[in-house]
Amino acid sequence: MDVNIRHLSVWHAHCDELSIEQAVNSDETQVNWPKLAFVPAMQRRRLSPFAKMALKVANESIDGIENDLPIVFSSRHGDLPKTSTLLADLADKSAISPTAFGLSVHNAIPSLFSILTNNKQAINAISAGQDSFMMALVDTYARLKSGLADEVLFIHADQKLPETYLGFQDEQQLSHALSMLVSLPSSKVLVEGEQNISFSFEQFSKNLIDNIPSSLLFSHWFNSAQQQVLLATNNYNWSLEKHV
Amino acid sequence: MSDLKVELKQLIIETLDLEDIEITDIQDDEALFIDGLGLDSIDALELGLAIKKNYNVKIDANSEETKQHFSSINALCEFVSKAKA
Repeated sequence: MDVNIRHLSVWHAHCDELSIEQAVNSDETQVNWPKLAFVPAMQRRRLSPFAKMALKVANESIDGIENDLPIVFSSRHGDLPKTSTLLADLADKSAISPTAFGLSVHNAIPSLFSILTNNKQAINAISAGQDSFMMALVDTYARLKSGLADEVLFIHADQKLPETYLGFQDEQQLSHALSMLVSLPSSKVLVEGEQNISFSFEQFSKNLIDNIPSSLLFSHWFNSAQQQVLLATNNYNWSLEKHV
Repeated sequence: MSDLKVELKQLIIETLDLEDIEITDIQDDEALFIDGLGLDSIDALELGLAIKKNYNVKIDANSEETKQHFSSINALCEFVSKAKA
């Protein structure tokens, strides 16, 4: 599979002071979540940290883009801090918040973004365990190959697991969001900052518990001089390569 | 201003995350929804739940009366004090 990628925007907790390697598994009780000045105050008041980081990067990726793009949204756990609060309320037999419920569904974030940007294109929301990010890229490729879109807005977000779920973690934890524009390679020359990459995968079962999530490794690789990278998850090995 | 009105305004601000709004910004006779304060249908559900929880009153979800009860602070105050009595 062969795609062009541009307008990569990445945000992670403590990104002002720390690199990805330094920030993984760090304390996230005091995080400066994005302020989101482009969202009207009456709508911004309902946005969770998860929504704020995802909408921030998405908005940066579409900077200068005139036409509405279809969206593929990827997240392993979605807005789990919000969902786990809802589940706790249900377990206590208390009434659950309609606002929190409405914004906790998996496609809430790209849908909010489509409302904010008045974008009527199709949206896919993907979750596929440790492979969420790369499987969403496969889905993006399929969407492009179908000929229904020339370019896709790809958004990925995952937040550090809430305390209750930390015992189940099988990856290193860091709240982060990433967004980019993906298109099929054509005869047209790459624009500045755009890169042509190919990727493939093979099934390979293993039992890793302390990997850095593929999305973070991908963004690190994309912004580095490194030509190739292997992203290993418990089910697959993903091989990625940049082409000049 | 009666204590209940202040209490209701505080409840609205906290429940609906109206960060930039003070108690004095909400007028007793001003519309809460659409015009005036500018709340929407999700706010109506959220506020209904908060009123139920805090004052243990029953709210009929689909009646015209309910719409009336939630039209302003004055109306809401009258509704809650009657329901509690």
